[in-house]
Amino acid sequence: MSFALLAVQTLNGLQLGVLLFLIAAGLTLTFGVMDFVNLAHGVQYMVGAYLAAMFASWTGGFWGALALTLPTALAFGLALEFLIYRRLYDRDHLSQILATFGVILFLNQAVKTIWGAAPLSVPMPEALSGSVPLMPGLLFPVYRLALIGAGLATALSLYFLINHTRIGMLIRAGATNAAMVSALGVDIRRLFMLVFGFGAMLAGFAGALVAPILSVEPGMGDNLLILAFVVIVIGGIGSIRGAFLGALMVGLIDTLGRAFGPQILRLALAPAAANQTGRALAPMLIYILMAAVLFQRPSGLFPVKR
Amino acid sequence: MTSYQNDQVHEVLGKYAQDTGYKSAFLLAPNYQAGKDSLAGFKRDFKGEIVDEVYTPLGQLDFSAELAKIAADKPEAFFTFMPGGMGVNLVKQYRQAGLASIPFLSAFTADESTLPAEKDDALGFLGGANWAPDMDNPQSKAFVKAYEAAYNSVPGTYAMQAYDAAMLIDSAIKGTGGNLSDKDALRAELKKANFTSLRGKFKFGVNNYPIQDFYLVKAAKRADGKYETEIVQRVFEDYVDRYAADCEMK
Repeated sequence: MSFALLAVQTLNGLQLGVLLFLIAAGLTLTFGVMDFVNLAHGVQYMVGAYLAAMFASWTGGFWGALALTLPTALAFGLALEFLIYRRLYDRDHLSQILATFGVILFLNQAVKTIWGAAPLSVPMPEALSGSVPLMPGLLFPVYRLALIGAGLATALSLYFLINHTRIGMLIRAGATNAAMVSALGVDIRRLFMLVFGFGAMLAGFAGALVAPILSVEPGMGDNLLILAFVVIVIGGIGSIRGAFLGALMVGLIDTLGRAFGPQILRLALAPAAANQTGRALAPMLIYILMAAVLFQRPSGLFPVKR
Repeated sequence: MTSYQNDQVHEVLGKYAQDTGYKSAFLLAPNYQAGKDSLAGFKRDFKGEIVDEVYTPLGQLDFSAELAKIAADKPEAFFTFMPGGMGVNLVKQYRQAGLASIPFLSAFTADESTLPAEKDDALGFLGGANWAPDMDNPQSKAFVKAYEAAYNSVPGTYAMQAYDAAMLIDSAIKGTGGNLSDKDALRAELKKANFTSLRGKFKFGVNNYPIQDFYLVKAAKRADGKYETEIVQRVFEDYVDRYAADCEMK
């Protein structure tokens, strides 16, 4: 195991981590502030990627697509909130899960109907299409570095927004006790709508960002949604800081486990057995981590104070 | 059955890698039965060193961890089976990681279903197939032309097999004169395979799988800007699958 390989895999893990963060941030806010389980958060990420693909073919470039995707994803999120989710806030979690699961099925089929089942792609922006040699024989695309940078910048601005602005204060207060915030004269419905639209925009932003490196296809958000739930459970529901650290932990552990698990096991096991066990164990690691965190701290690493 | 055994297409690449003289290969497939069939198929004829054999979870989208490992292992060839969106991701990321100097051998990874999204990133990548849209016979040319006119996309082997299956059923119904109540007669007619396959020659082996040719194909861009796989060379001729003797249909 060379140092260069370890460094590259750490970068890979970071990149997965910041991507997870962009999705988990919206999820943890809607879950934490509104106590609303939104399974459809993953398809909003998918819709973001599809919007980016569509706008890219209209405008012919990535930047134009990104600029158009953000407001459209926001509008789409607000429309979903207005049409469907608004009616679910007062219902129990089971109704919310059923309804948002329905939204997943509907939207996955809808994108198939509109754009077809075959994967789409988005061109990489010219300025970021280079790559840097990180180790012999391997180039690391500059775009992926930019992705990490964009994720970290988003995390920083969110931190500022949540901790140092009035709207952030209301969001934190809403996470702690929504009824009380409402009683103090804040229009909690409007706050919810804002949080929801913002979360949808973050998910759409993530979708647009990954579109140049991942294929845009129906169901692309479903796997990430599960990971995003793991992230917010580890981090503590409602906590942006928890989502950030949880996302980085999950990204790094998942990537490094996949990359080095078999080799580490080889120290103790025969090569064939190590390979077999490593393969089985690597995808489980993040769930083992989640179980361990829940065992020690049942409300996550950074629980919202009640 | 108008297709193939699940590991046959992958044998094409194993045979090609062996014949070309690659001494080592890195294998990557999703962790499910078809992935295991695929690597088993590749290894049947490939006798070089298997540097590593990696199974990823089905539906994995980002292969950066695996690509870094390939770069570190420096194999002479890379073989994979990543259908659908997984293939699109892998092909793009393989190219972006600068690994394209290592031959990319695959099946169902850079084909007509994924090439429209992979575009130039897949050019020159090798695959295995029992047919390709540039197959040189009149029925196939007519089929490709009609298909493209109707669907505005290049047909892949899936379309070819479905078309052959429909033609096979049609030939059998015609053979029985439309009398479908006599099941044995219908079965006998099906077995005759009395239709013009897009593959050219077509007949059933003892296990009712086709005896057919398999080709090495290469992803290419046509003059009209569309992408397709093109036949490079025939790898297996009149190929009977290796299970035929074990499961004869009585």
